[in-house]
Amino acid sequence: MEDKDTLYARWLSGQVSDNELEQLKSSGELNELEAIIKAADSLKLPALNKNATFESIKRKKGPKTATLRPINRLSWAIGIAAAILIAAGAYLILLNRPTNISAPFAENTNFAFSDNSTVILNDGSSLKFDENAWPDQRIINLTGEGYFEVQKGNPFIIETANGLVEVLGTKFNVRAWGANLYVECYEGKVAVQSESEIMEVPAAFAINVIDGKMGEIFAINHEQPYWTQGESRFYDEDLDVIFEEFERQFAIEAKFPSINRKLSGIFTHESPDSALFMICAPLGLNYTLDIDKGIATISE
Amino acid sequence: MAKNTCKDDIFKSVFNEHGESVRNFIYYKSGNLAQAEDLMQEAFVKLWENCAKVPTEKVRSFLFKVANNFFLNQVEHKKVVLKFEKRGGSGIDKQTPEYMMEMKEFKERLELAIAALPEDQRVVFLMNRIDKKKYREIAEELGLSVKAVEKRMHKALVALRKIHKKV
Repeated sequence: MEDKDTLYARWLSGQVSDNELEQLKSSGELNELEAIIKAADSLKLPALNKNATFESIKRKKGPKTATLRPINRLSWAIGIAAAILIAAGAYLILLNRPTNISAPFAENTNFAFSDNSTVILNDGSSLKFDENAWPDQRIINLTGEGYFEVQKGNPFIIETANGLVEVLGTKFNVRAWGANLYVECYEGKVAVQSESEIMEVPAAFAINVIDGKMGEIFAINHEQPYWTQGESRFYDEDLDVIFEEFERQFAIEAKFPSINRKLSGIFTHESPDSALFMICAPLGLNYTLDIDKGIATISE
Repeated sequence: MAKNTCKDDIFKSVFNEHGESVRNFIYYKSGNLAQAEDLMQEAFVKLWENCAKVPTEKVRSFLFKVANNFFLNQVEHKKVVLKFEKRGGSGIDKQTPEYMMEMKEFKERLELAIAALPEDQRVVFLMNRIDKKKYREIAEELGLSVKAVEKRMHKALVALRKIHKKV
């Protein structure tokens, strides 16, 4: 059964009977149709810039499971991340009987999760997570700094006061003291989320989220965080934060003047004296160290 | 377990394969390239958000459906003006200037006529000619029967034939 109302379409796809074709020829319709098709086939649209467009889509879609929902409606369904609310530098996460791991001052702490993901917590840092939900849910609440080696699996999410980090399987360092979230990635890749943006950080790169604002990605050429190798390094931090790190590393109280500057620098973990020297000398500050009392006094 | 696009590399290859034709689909409807690109991106984001619920074989129709929904949401009922790239001739340089002029005018009339087609016909016609899709693919992507696609295609050609008529 050949329909008249699909004739031209069938001609175009080569599905007309000989009869029909003859009729189209003799009536002159064929010529007209061929001219139309020939002209139509020369029409072109601008090509799609696939790379740029895909990058744009990646930015819009964000990490797979980070969704924002009101804080009092959490759901812990298998494979789906909990609701996370990040607002003005403060956050809350409700956990049922969370497991707490913390590193005391002047000491690192190693911990292994049940899926063999590991973390080394820098001095004075701590984390909370729901042990029973692991590894269906891999969500951690981090205070301070940790070096993570994450096994492949469900999304591994680290919430901090200054932003969110998500990975699928990789080695990276997360540092969230003061108002900054600083992430270095050594293997694999991580997604870092500030209040309004998400950035993917691949291996050998780092990013600083300062006061909720996403910085630029920059390259690093070390494969482990400096603090796991005896040095503390800072990128654009307040002086308070640097001295607080000193306090955590050496369990020595630091009294220091209030100086309103952001600094980048390093200090060694070898001894409090050399550490103080490394912090104070570039700034022209003086210090005295009372080991017995456990106090360092810094002055201008 | 049914396959879906929840993996980064699968999602990316779905985009590489279908991104452009989803964009074109919206463009054929709207004549607005920026809007088309925008809505195409939103459709892919939606795909990602729902990836666990969309098996691989349903991905195409999902994308077209979602893109279409976004479009309907935004429609301003402006007159559609489709612009195509100026492509350098049909490769035949030995034609007379008169012929070239005629061809150029013919093409211009054709472009106007295409833009003036009812949306249903226009979309099917352009998906077939520009995106090089077979009727079966178009049917699947638009949720129609092949017969319905053929009817629209036929009507489009009937309308376009009119540009031949001398006034």
